Amino acid sequence: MSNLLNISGLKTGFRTENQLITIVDNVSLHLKRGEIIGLVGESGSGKSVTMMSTIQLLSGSGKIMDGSVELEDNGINILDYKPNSPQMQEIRGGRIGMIFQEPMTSLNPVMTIGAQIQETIMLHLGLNSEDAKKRAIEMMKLVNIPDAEERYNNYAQQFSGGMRQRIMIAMVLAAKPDILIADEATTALDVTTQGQLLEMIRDLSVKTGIAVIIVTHNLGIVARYADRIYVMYAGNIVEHTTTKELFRDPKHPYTRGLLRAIPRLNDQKDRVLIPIDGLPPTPAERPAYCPFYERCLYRGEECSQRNKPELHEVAPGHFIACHLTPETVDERKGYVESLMQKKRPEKEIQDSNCLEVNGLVKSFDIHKGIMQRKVGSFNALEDISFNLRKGETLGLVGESGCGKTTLARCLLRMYKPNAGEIKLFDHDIAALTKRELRPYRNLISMVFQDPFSSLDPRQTAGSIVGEPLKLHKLVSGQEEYEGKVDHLFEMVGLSPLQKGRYPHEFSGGQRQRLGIARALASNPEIMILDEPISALDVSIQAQIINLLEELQSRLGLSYIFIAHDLAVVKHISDRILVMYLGRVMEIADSDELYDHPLHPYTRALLSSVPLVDPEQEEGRPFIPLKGEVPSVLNRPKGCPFSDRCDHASERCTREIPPLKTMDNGHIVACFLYE
Amino acid sequence: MAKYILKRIAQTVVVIIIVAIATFFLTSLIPSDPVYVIGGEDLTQEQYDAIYYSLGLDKPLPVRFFNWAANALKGDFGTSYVYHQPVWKLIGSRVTTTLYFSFLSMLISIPIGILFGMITAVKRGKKADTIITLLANISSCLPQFWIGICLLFIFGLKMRILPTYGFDWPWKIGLGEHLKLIIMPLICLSLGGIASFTRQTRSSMLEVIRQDFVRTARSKGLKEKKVIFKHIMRNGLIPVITMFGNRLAFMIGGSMFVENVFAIPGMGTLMLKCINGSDLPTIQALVLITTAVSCVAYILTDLLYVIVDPRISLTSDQSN
Repeated sequence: MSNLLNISGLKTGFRTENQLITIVDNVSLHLKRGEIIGLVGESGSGKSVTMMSTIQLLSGSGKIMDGSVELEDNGINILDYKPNSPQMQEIRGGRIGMIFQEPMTSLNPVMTIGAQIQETIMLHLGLNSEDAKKRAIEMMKLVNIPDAEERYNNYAQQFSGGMRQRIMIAMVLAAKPDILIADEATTALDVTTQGQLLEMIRDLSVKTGIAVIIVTHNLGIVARYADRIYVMYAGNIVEHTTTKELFRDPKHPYTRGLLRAIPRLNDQKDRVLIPIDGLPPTPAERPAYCPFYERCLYRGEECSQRNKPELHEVAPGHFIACHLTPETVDERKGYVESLMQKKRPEKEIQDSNCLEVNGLVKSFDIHKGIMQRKVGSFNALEDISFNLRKGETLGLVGESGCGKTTLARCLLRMYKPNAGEIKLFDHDIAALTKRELRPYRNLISMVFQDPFSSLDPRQTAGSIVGEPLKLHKLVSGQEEYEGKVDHLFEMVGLSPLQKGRYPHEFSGGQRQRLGIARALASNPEIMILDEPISALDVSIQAQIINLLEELQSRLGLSYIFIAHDLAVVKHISDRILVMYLGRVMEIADSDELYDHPLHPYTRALLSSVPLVDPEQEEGRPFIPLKGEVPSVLNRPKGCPFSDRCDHASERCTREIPPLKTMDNGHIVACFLYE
Repeated sequence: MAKYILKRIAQTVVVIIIVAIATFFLTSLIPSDPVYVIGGEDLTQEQYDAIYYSLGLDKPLPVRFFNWAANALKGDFGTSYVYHQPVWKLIGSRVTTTLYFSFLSMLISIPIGILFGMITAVKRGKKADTIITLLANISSCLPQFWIGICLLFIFGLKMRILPTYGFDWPWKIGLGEHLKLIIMPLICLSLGGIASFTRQTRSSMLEVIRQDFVRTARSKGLKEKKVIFKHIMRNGLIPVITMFGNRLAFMIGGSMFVENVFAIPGMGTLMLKCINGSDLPTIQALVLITTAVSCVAYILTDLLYVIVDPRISLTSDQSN
């Protein structure tokens, strides 16, 4: 069968002040009708630029230097068309449609969504405006937008992120393209929404025969949805084969490294993550030899002396760009395996609680008008109860808006809860005044999500880390201060020589290390980690996870780990708390929770997370969730999940199920288990 | 929507009242005795007292304010100290003249400025951009009266093709003569407006061009013209619209310079004379009228805003 899309030898550069820097170098890929392929790589690997080059949608400074893109093997290189030529405009949107990462900004805020879909249809299908409107509404129904007729005249900002991405899909598919490019299209969304969308895209692909290119950094997504996968690194494709083959027998050292570095939902409890050390080379600093050389565990002398490896077939249908022969790889296998033997750092969980929360409620007032008068209030947290043992890691999961961060802020007493207790080593701090809180302040510290904006850009790394020492008067002199800061730097794996640098001189991973050092400085008992790794690249995430585990075992810290990546939470946590609309749904040991989830919400949540293993993925049920997370402003009267639950009875809509502790310590709030 | 308009009007009334209070009390602080302004320096005690009581200056300040405000509501701003005729009679035709110039110059500078702004944004870094941006930057630095004097010198004195002063309506002197009279003042008034609209349009369009939804529009395969006019322009004009009200208020305030250069009998020339002559009632009336016109301009701007940007009416709907 001929290829629908054939990209060969694509080379794209970006102009900087005085030179043209190659971003994508000699990339070839092909796509057949009805196929779903994955293009995987970390940020800066050139995956998006490859796709943008294909439809000539590069920003002003981008330039395609070489290569060809053919549709249906017809011998016409569409890169010969000018970006603004009628032929290219016909292909763009008409033959190849693209959806982007940011659903919040990808739609025009001053045009109704209907008009935007209609516009595409009129352009490519040549319908008149009335027929185009009809088709637009059909498309909106196809992507499950409720009340399509009424919502046709709404604006993008009246929709949630998931709905906007559906609108984008409707808009793109309305023109009947042959190829859909989804460039990190679900990255910004919650797992359940992500699952809904990807399932829908797959169904549409089966139904309409559209071919899909999923561009992502998430290996789980491609493992679940793609037929074939291309792995990109530093502007090159380094491995290409079928999805099953790739995960069963990854051959390129980079792919192997990635798979060793990511936690999976179905991991054994004692699995160690092996991070890929170092950072990918920046485009301007890419060497003439293999760009992965510096980080490669299998590298040999010969690699740095030879040219960049070309993609070649090593097994039927399996291509890699690597000079190493299978024999050399086998030779070095022993060394790599010795790394795998490393044990996870031991930790000791004591029976005593360092934190106990009972019946915590936090509500916010709604203000309106010029005088900001109070017109109502809503509960962001309702009846939250849990405990944290000394030395334990408690994972906190839930979709955005479920109150995870509000809870963290209450525990830190940045917010004053309206009711309930927060017992920190048997002292209730929930109602203390600012003054009374002072002796407890240093006991809980926090690491934030975004390592780029959570550090003061005008403060040196040393003073960022050392600030809590002075604040809590933990040091008595300049000498002791300097010594402690040096020690903190070493603890998180940074050199004290970097103290005088400013945050922008550090990489993302290093900055998060600074954030951790700052949190450690106050000598805390409990650390709240609010999405500490979600802004980092896959290969860096493992470094931070390992660091956190090591610190915990060394210092006996207790963690509350907030994340939306369930595989990561499962890997790091001893117990997991599932939240929904400000209430606790379920608390259980992490293995128990993943093996025997009780609450219908937990089950749906877990089924939305793709495993990084296509063989286990096969036949694994996907439990779709109805609709979207309601706003806390109009939560259902009874169980908060009752309006989306398949098991909901009439009672669920009236009463709120209390938390019930099962025999094995599994806690759940659901009438199914009474 | 109706509620929104009512709310804006209510706010405007409050603003006008505050301005009225402020001008009345501030002008009363001016260290010149209105009695001498009216009657001259050589007054007997009786003459002085007669004027003093007729102006009601014996009453306390708040009482004078309420009397003045009550009369002002009826359109009676008192009698001019300098021209010795009712203020409303004095300023009526002059306000019309000034507003005529202001609106005409807005009509000229908005479309031209936006057009230039779009050209420079789309052709960013090209020759057209460099030249227009440079000219815009220069002309927004030049004082209006200086441009006026230059124009007068060249076209009025040297080439003698245009009259150098005066103003009258077309139905009195004919359209041709009228145009000859207004062309130079209009250029003077509009040049700054064109320049600032050009610069604002350029920067906000460049801001919008970088947005994700523009990439989306291009990825649909839309023609570049459509991308610019349908997707970029409407978003890019929102900040420009904010300037309309500002600009009009600025023009009315700035009419003082241009009207003086071209000897146009408008609010500006009157204002200058009244300030020099301590003509308090006229000053108060002129300030109030300027405020009212500006407020109306701001309300119209806000309404235009709602039409162009649906997000604004949405948020006000939600809060209702």
